[in-house]
Amino acid sequence: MFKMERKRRIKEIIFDRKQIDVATLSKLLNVTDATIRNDFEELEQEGYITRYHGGATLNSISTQEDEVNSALTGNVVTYDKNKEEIGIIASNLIDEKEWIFLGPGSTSYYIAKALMSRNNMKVFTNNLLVSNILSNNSTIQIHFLGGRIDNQGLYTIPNDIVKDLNNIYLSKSFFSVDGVDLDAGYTLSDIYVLDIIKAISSRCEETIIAVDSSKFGHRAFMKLGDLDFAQSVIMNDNVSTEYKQYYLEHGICVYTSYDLKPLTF
Amino acid sequence: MKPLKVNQISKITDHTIINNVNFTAYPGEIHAIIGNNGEGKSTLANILSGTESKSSGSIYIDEQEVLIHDISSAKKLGIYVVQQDVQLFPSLSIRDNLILGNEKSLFDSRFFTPVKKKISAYCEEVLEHFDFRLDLNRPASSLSIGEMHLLQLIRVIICKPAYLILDEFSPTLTFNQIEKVFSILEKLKAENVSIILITHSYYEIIHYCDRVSVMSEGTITDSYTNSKNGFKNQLFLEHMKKLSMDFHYPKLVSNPGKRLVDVDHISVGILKDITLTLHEGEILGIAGLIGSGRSTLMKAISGHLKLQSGSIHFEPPLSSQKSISIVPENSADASLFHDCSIPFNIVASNFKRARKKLLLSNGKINTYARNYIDKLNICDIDIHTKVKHLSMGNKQKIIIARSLFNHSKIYIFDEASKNLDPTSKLELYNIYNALVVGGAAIIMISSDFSELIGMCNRIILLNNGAQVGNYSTDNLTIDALYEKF
Repeated sequence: MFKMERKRRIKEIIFDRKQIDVATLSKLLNVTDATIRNDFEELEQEGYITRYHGGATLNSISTQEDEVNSALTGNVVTYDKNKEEIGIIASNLIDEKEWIFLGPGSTSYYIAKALMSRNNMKVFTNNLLVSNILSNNSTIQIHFLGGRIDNQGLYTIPNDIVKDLNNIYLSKSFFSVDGVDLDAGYTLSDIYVLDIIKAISSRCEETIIAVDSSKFGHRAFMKLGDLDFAQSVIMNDNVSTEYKQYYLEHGICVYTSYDLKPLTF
Repeated sequence: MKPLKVNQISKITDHTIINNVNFTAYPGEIHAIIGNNGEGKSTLANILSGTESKSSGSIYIDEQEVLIHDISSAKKLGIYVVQQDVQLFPSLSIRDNLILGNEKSLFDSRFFTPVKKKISAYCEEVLEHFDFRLDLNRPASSLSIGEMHLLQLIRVIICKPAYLILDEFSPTLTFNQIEKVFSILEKLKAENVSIILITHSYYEIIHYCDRVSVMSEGTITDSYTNSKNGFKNQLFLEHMKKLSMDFHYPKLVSNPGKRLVDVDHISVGILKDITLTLHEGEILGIAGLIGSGRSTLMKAISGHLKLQSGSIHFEPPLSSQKSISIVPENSADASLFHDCSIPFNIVASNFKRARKKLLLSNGKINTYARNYIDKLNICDIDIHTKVKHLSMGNKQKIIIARSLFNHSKIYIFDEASKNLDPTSKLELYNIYNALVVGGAAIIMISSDFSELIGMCNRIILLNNGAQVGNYSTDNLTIDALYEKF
C-alpha cells in the first residue's frame, strides 16, 4: 500500500473510531509504528487530527469536546474514547427511579454526558464537571455536595461528609481510581478522593468502579482497597485476562465496553 | 479388577487440550472428576474409552501398559463410556437400541442372534432390574430425553464394564431416576467395578463419591478423598463453594425500542400456538429442555420452516440487507468455512461490501478482518491463522464479526455459551450488551436458567412444544422456572 492510500485508510479509521493509538493502528494496517507516526505528523499539519503521546484524536471531535466543555464549565476535558465508552455502559446501568452518586474525575463526566439524553434522573455529586453538564437538562435533579474546591477546580471536598450524607441512602455510586493492580488493589493519588469514596460507598447499595484500561497495571500511592472493594466494575475490553479471571473468581460483576458501530471502508 | 492408571497423558492439537494428566481409578470406588467447561474432562474420558487418541503419555492396568487405539480395544479391556449426548438410533426400537452391537458380549454370538422371544425376555428382565418399564417395540425417539439417557446408560451397563466412565449422565434425569442409577452403581461398586463420574452436581459428589479430582486448564490440580466423615479437607470445601458460586451476569437495565419481530400464534412441527414479540435493545430468552421445540422455533423465525398456522411479521421486512444472524450451537462446524481464511469467513455475509470497483479486494477484506479482530478483542491470532486452530470462543467471535459486517439487527444465539470457559462467557455476555445498546435485538436460546435470568429481559418458556410462560426477568427466580416443569 502506498502512502497516499495508507493515509486515506488512516483517515477512514480515525473517522470511525474518533481516537486511536499508534500501536493499534500499526497492527491494523500492518506497518511499523514509525510509519504511523510519520503519517500522523503529516495529518496533523493538514489539520485532520491532533496528536497526543501515543496516539491521535480526530480534530472535529476534540474541538467539539473542547467547545462543549469550555462553554459549560470553563474547563477543558480532553477527548478520551475509552472513558466515553465506559460512560455509555454506566448510563445503561441506571434506572430512572434510582438516586446515584457520581464521584470526581473525567470518567464521571462521561457518565454524566451519556445521561444527558435521559430524563428524570436523580444525581448526587461533588464533581463540578458533572454538575455543569447535567444542569443543561432541566428534568435531571442534581444535588451538589459543597465544600472546599480542590486546586484544579474540578471537585469539592466536603467539610463534614458524614453530616452532609446523614440521612441519605443511594442506590448506586460510580467512582474512578488512578491505579488498578492485582497485588496493590485500587489505588488513588488524592487522599481527599479516597475519603469521599470510603464515606459514600458505605451509604450506598451498590458501589461501581468505572476505570479505563490505561489505569490497569498501575499503582498510585494510596490504597483504597483490594480489587474486590466494589461489587461491579466497568472497564474497556482490552484489559488483560488475569484481571477478568480475578473478578470472576471473586464474584464481581464485570462490564466491558465494545465498540461495535458499523464500519465502512 | 485392577487399578486403571494414566501417566502424563497429553492431548495437543492446535493448542493444549490436556496437559500431563496423572490419574488413578481404583476398583470398587466412585471417583468424580470436576471442573469448569472446556477444561478437558470429556477429552480425558474419550481418550480412555478409545473415542479419541492421545498425543503422549501412557495408560496402565494393574501396572502393565495397555494400548488403546480405538473403541473396541478399549471395550476389550473393559473400559466403557456413557457420553453426554444421546447416541441412540432414534427410529429403531428400544429392544434394538439395547441389543445391537452388544450381541457378542451378551449372547456370545455375533452371527447367530437368539430368537426375538429370548431377546425380548432378556431386555424386559434388564429394564425390570432398573425399575424401568417400557414397551420394547416403541422407537427410541418416542422416549423423553431423560428416558433416552437412562436407556443409553443401561445399554452400557449390561456389557458388564470393568471400568465405567459416565460423562455427565444426570442433567436430564429426575431425582428419582438419579437415585435409582446410583443404587445400581453402588451394586457395581460392590462387584469391584471402577466408576469414573464426570459431574457438576455438588449433591452427587457429597453423597456418592469416594474420591474427587479437580481438573483445571487441562490438568488435574487436586485430589480429595472422602473419609468416613465426609470430605474433611478445607481446601476442597472452599473449592466446592467456588464452583457453586453464582456467576455474576453483567445485566443492563432494559430499554426496549421499537418492535422488530411479531410472532403471532404460530404452530409448526412440535410447536403449538406460540406468540412473542422482539424489540430493539431487548434480549429475549427461550427456555426449555432439549427437545422442547427451541430449535424449531429458531428455524421458524429464520424462515427455514413453513408454518402450519399463524404468522411472523418483521418490521422492517427482512431482505438480504436486513437479515437475521444465527449463531448456532456448535457454531464452528455449522457456519465456518474451514478451508478458507478468517477474513473470507468474516466478509462472507456480504461480498458486495468487500469489493473495490467490481472485484473483491484483498486489501479491503483484510482491513475489515483486522478491524473486527481488534474490536472484538480476539487475542493471539492474526488474519493468517487457520480457522481450525481457533478456540471455541474465538470461532464464535468470527461469526459475530460476520454478522456485524452485514449490519445485522436481529441475532439468535443458540446455546452459544455452552462450552465456553468463564472468561469467554463473560466476554460473550458483554458483546451481547454492546449489540443491544447499539440497537440490535437478541434471542437467546439456552437450557441454563441462571444464564437466562442473568442476561435476558424476558423469558419464553417452552415445554414439549407448548408455550407455558412469558415472564419478565425482574424478580424471577430459578425455582419459579423449575416449578413450571
